[in-house]
Amino acid sequence: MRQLPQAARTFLLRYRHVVWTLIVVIIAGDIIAVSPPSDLLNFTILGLAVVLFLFYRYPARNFFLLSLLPLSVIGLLFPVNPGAPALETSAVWLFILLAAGILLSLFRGTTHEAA
Amino acid sequence: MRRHKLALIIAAILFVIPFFWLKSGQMNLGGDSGRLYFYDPGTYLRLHAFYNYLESSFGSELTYYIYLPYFILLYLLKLILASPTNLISFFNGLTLSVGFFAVYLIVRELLSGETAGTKLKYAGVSSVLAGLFYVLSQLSIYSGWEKPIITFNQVFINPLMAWLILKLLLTQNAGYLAAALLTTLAFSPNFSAVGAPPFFAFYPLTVLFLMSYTVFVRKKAVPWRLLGIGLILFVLLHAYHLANTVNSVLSTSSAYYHDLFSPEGTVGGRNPLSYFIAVATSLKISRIWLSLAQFEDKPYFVLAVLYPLLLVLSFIYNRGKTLLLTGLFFLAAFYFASAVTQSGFYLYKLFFRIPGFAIFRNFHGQWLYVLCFFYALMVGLAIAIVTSRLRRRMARTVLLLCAAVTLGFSFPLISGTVPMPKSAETGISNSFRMDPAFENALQTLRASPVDGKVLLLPLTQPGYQLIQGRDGGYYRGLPPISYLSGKAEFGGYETLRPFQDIFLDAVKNSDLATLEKMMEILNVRWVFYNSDPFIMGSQFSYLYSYISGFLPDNQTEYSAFIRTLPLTDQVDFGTKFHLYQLDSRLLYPHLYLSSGALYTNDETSLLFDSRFHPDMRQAVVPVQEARSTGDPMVLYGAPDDLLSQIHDNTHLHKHMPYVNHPLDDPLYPLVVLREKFDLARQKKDPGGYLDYSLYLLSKRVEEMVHYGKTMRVIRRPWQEPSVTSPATWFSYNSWEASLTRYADSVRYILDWISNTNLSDTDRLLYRLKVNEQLNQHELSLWRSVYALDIPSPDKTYLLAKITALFSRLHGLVNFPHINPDVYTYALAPYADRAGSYEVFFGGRSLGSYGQDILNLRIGRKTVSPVPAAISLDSESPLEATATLPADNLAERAAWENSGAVSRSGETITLLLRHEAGDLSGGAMLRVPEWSPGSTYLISFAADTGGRDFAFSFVENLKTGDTVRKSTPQSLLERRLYTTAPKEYQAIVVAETGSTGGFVKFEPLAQEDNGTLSITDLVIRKVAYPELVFRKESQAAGAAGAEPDITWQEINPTRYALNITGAAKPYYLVFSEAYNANWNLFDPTGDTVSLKAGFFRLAGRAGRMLAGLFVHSGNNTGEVAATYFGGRVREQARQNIILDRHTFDTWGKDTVGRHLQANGYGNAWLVSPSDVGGRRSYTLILELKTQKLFYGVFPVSLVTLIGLGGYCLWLVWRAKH
Repeated sequence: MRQLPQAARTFLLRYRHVVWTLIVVIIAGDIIAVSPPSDLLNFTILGLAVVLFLFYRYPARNFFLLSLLPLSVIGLLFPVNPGAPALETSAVWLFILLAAGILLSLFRGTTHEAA
Repeated sequence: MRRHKLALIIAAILFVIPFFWLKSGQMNLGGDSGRLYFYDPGTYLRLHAFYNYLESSFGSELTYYIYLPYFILLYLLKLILASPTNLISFFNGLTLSVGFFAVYLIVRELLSGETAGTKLKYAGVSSVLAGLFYVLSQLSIYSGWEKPIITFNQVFINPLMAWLILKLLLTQNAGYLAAALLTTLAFSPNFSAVGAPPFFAFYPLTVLFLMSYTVFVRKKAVPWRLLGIGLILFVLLHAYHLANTVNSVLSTSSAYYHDLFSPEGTVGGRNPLSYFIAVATSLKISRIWLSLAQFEDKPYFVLAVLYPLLLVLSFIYNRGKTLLLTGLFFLAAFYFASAVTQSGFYLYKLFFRIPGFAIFRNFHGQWLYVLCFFYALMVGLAIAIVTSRLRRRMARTVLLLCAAVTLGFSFPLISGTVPMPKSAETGISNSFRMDPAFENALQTLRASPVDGKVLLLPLTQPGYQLIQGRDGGYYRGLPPISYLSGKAEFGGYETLRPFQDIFLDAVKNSDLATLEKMMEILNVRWVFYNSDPFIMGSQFSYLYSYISGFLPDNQTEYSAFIRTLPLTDQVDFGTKFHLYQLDSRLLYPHLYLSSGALYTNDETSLLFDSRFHPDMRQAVVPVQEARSTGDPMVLYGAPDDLLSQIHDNTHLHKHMPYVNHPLDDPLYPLVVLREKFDLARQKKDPGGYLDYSLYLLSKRVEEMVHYGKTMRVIRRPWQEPSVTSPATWFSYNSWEASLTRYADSVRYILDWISNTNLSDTDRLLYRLKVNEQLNQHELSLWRSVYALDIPSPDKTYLLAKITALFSRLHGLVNFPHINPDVYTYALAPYADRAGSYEVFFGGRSLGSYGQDILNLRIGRKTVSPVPAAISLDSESPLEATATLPADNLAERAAWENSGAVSRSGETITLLLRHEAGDLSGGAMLRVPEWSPGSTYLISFAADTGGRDFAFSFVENLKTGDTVRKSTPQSLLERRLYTTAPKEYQAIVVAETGSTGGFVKFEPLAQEDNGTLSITDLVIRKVAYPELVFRKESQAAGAAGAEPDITWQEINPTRYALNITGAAKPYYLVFSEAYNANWNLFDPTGDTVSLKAGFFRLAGRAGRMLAGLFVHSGNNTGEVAATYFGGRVREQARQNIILDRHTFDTWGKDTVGRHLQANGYGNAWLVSPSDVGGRRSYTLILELKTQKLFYGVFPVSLVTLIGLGGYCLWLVWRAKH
């Protein structure tokens, strides 16, 4: 992170909410539009999310907030269309987000770290 | 105890609930395990639990003493509980209550060790909810309650063991270790080879989790020494069955070795890798997150999202390590139960390369309870963490909500609907009360002192026996006849292997002679017939699906069939159960002597061939066992041409590719790349490579059919895009492109076939498949273009292009014309084959034909004409070609349907009319004497005069409908288009469920009539006349009368034989499945070796110990049956597990040469020199591996006594 040009760092820090909104939108888009789930896409987005997470120095437990997105999709879509492909994509996202969150938490400890 | 008051009350309630599922006297038995041990554990103990052998159908080596402690437990409990109903309910109650309580205790312990962050106020209630989730979640309910197999006890054993191990790690109290070891012994099936999949799924992961928790969370050291002692004690305690398992695993001929060490994806019919892929690709991961069964999709199940929501929230609120560690292992279990993510799926496939991993082929079912366990732990932790962060009212609401969701969805289990289901259509329950009449029948068979087998009728496909209960309900499972009466049975098509098809054909053709021979060879003594119409009802039709084409398919026909059999002494038990004895002239003993043997390369054919094998007592032995050229041989020529290799219609397979990318899609080039990549991955498997290549060919056609309207007609040659010219990358969207790609693919496939290392027959078969695909594709494309709404010039252009293209491609394939009059055979060289042989063809001596019909090629020498007796050597392969005019079935059939038929010499002219729709147009010729399962060759030459016709072959398949009894199915269809006479051929295999077939010619999508000329129409059933070479015995006959034998079954693994008057060599035949572990011992012959000396010493010790504990019993040696005029005497069978004579064979010589005989059984060739020249002596026939049990059981017993003593000392110490 230290090698990033100062301008890029400033940009990312200033527009952190936009960046995270984009991440959430990309994940949502992957859940809704991409079927069947593609690991290449999933792990690319996940990798990006983890890198940004580490960059922003959020507490590890905040990563789990992202898991609420696929969980919400499951909760909303299941009664409407239990066979929807987006359900399976959400289920896969839930798994990999929880796994990433747990690993992040274990490696970084459970103490809060301010951004 | 007060701390656990709520949990104990709930556990007690859960224990009692199953007692309401069954009414008094009812049992839910059946399924793959049978569960008959709940009905009569005493008989299981007596007949099976001490032996390494199961007497069922042909017999099999099975380590049944794995179940010994468990059956003892069942037996003792049944003495207390008095009825099977109570016993079953007791174990169901144990499953629920102990499963719940163990998980409760574990979660309680995990929460008590949680020191970080807020105090967990609701730890107790959270632990209770975790326990309830474990036993009552949908994942748990629908995972084996209906017909639990013997390892279903894992539901409560696993968490109980996990709790004991956790306490051992945390307290280092050896009492927990002792309790765990005794638990493993009491429920030994779960800790044996039988329970290997759930064992290896649960324990490695769980023990690792508990150790990690101990070290990283509780900061304690792992008591390695205690664990090491525990492992040693476990091995010693279970030595009595582990020794045999290890021995089997290391034995290269055993099924265990084969299953564990065969290359990935190759074992048996149920290929583990294919099984895994089939399961993995159909799993819904979302259901697993919601802890639902895979089939559940009702909207209200969305309430189960509460659990994953609590999980996620708990991670957000979490401050400690326990949840993180548990979560990590939970996700590991989740992965193993679901193969989640694409890379996870591919990685999982790689695991199947690990020897032994194939046990997880049904991975989802085997890892489900592991997942359930960790999910329950997570739920408990999550509820505790989340509620500790909420206000009291909110926390209580959450707790109530969890309880409501868990208990609400558990109603199908609590009410008994899931474990004791009823059929939705008929309302019939699969719980039942045993019919006393059937119990009497079992008792009658059990009491018979004679050793014989039972043929169960009606026969089922898998060998299940079906019995209606006393007042509704039914049993469907392993046959009680063999498991409870001690008499081996043949109850199913599969159990008659390798004679199953011979049996079916014999019944269908009313071939009583073959049926009688079969019953002699199989040692059948009784026929047990269940005449209850209920068991052949429509709800059980799946049990008779294939065989109903051969056997009677209702009780009226079965009764008539029974009356044709040579049966006597009918005994009726009630109105439904009937026991018959076979006519005494057909009774064969389990063991008998034979003066001679016939050597052959086709035991199954020779056994039932009364021309060459008139004396059924003569053993039929594989030709590879012959020892000299003087041995008598009967050798069968094997059909060896393309037609003989075709047994099904896979060469006519229609691929159904899915196309979803138009050819002008920007992503289409990626599709092309992906196809090339996928095809390249198949290169290692020629069959798979060809199939996928043909699939891709079909895909090209499907693209043209699907997108043809929007594809351009460019009227110029097209070339494959190249990397260097980007303009061509997106040029696929034209007819010329697709047709060119199609043609190039066909050429590539044909080149590959020519250059790949294949046998000539395989090469021909592959070309046949390509040829048939071309036929299908040509017709499909022609029809598609004909129906296309495009300008007429383009249509004409495309139709002409298709015609020219396929004409060219057929020319490239150049599939040879098969001469219907020629039959080709092969005979391999065998050691000791040399000698003079009589030749028989088509059931007659060759000389009787009066003409040259056979040509032989022996090595490089051609023999023509072939004399009635020829000399063969032992080294040269033999090829035979016979030319017989084909029996042309077409000559006996009449043309039907529309149109007019006229004949002129050999030429038939058909004036045909096309009708849209099913089969009402054109002309049909029904194939007479239709034979399901047979292969037919259709040949003809046709001149279509430049017009288009369709030729098809249709068969009628039997349906279950009483109104519409059959439905037509087209096997092949092809386009006929010629301007001059052209030859056509087709090969079809009639399906076994077919009732008839016909060929059909009709104009191809034309509105007016068409004239078609056909010559040389031949429809031939492919049936190879038998080619047999017979050599009489050249050995000088040994002098002396045949010996007599008196034998007795001591137990299923041991027989005592008294031979008298054995002046010459003889064959001892034993009608059980061939197994190299059956050995013939001379108890007077000491083997000279150090090892044998040691075993003799051990045997003496064993004899001494046995003499102390076991008295000799009352074996009077009474003769129960005699055969062959008293030459064979059978003494009353015993069931002596242990006596002073058990060790008589330890360190003793084996005698005789062990051979396979009669297609499935055992034979020993015993000479006087093998027994020191004696004529009268005693031999012992014993299953060698049973000795392991006697040798190792004392180790387990001593360990158990020591462990039991230690437990008593612990209890005494605690009190004082």
